[in-house]
Amino acid sequence: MSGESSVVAVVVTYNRKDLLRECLDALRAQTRPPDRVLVVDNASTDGTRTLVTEEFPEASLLALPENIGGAGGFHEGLKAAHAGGATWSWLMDDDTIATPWALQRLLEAPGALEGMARPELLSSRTVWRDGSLHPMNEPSFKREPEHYIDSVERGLLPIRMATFVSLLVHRSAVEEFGLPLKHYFIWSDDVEYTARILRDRQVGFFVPDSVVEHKTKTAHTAVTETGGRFYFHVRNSVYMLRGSAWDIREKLSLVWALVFTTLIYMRHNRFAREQVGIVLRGLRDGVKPVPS
Amino acid sequence: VTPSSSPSVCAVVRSHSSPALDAALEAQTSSVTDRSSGAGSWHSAVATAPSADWLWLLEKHAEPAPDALERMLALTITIGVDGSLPAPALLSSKVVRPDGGLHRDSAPWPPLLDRVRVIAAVRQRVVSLRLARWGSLLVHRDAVEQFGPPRADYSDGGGDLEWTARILRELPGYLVPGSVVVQRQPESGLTSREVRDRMRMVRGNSWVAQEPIWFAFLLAVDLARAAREQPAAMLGMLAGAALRRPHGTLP
Repeated sequence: MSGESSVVAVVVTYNRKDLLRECLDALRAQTRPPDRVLVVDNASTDGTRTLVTEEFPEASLLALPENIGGAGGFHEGLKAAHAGGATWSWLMDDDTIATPWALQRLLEAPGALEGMARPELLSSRTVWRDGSLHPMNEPSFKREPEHYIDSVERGLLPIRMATFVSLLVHRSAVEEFGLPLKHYFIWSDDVEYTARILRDRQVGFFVPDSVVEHKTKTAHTAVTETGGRFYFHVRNSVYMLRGSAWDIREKLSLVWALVFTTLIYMRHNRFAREQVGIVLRGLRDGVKPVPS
Repeated sequence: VTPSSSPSVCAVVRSHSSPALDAALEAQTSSVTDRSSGAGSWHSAVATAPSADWLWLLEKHAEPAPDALERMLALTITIGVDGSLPAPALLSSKVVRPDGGLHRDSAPWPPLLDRVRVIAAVRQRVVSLRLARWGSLLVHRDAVEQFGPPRADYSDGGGDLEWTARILRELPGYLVPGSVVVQRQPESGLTSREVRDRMRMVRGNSWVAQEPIWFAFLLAVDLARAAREQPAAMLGMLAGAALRRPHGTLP
């Protein structure tokens, strides 16, 4: 790895060999390739490990003994990348297909921001298969007008939070704020982590010219097709209400969003006993003490 | 709105001009073809302005940098070329205090929810606007014809929001960060007339979808901030807004 700007791509995967292959191919095709690729395998059972060792020998494999969810995967992956001395860790899921300039454009942002801010989080423009903004990864912007205009003048937008679908994290953020919270298991781990880092600091930017495709089957938002996993949405929202990532005003919006999505979810499932149970268990576990 | 290569520009000041503004207009690198002043309100200033491709609405104490107009006009020609952004009907300069910081009374409001437009605009290094403030606005003739002058029954501190919200609901507008105007008038913040005007606007028809909820929310935030800084003034402001008899119809 080369001194100042070493980049480790951290790809978290679980039983999606074909997508992972596409994802890793896209990393190979970068105009500015990452210095190292770290595949974090959440104990896949579909031969993912063989795929990585045979087809992508340049990648390192972090083989987790059990599936600890996206949150656990990013926790362990970022920890390993940080310990290995990475200046930047480039976080993504296995269904994130980067366009060739994605990393180079992200890495150009600090230069564009010279004299203004030293960025610690840089987020790509995430599109769906048809090129439209992916609704699961829509950026959320900071609105402080002066900072906003200064950022726009440099071709960037200030963000309040981001998702782990092509996010560059500087090591100074890890040093100050630690790692994503493992006990979230899936969902909102990225929202919580980035919102916590950006709460009182203007160090996160959206880079519109860095484009990645988030290759989900449908361009869905999380609510209607989540089944039992809706539990994590409810529980982790309650976790966030107890946490320090959001200020009081933002927590009010969070409550509103939770109520709204829960109503949609329950109505979609015709208020069936099972789904009501999922929501109630989420609420109950959300107020329990957090596992350390 | 179709851009023209050598557009005529009429500089419009609300009441009368100041020597500093006169000098700044003389020094513009793009020519100001005409000048006009109103009789003390933005309504009459715009209504009586002579016809031109663009009206450049300037505050009396504004001092535009020599290239302030040129930067905006250049954008009207280049911005639509690659098809990623529609040509603007309204442009705003960046209005700063003499110390260089953004002037609070002229701080822009980016679009509330339209992320696609916001992102397309940043790729052209401009801020896509949903509302704009007085200070230095370049408004196309077509927009003035379509929407009329600013309403006479709004105060200065609310009339800009009302007028630009209506225009920008239909037509695109951007803030050009490189076009800089120094505003020497000190920041006044929120006034009771502006609070009243913004309350009226919430009920008005300048909006699409959930926007009025956002607008009301932003007013609440501004009021909360004012309350923290000066609780007494904030109470006076609310009382003033409540007691004032609304005149005219809703926008």
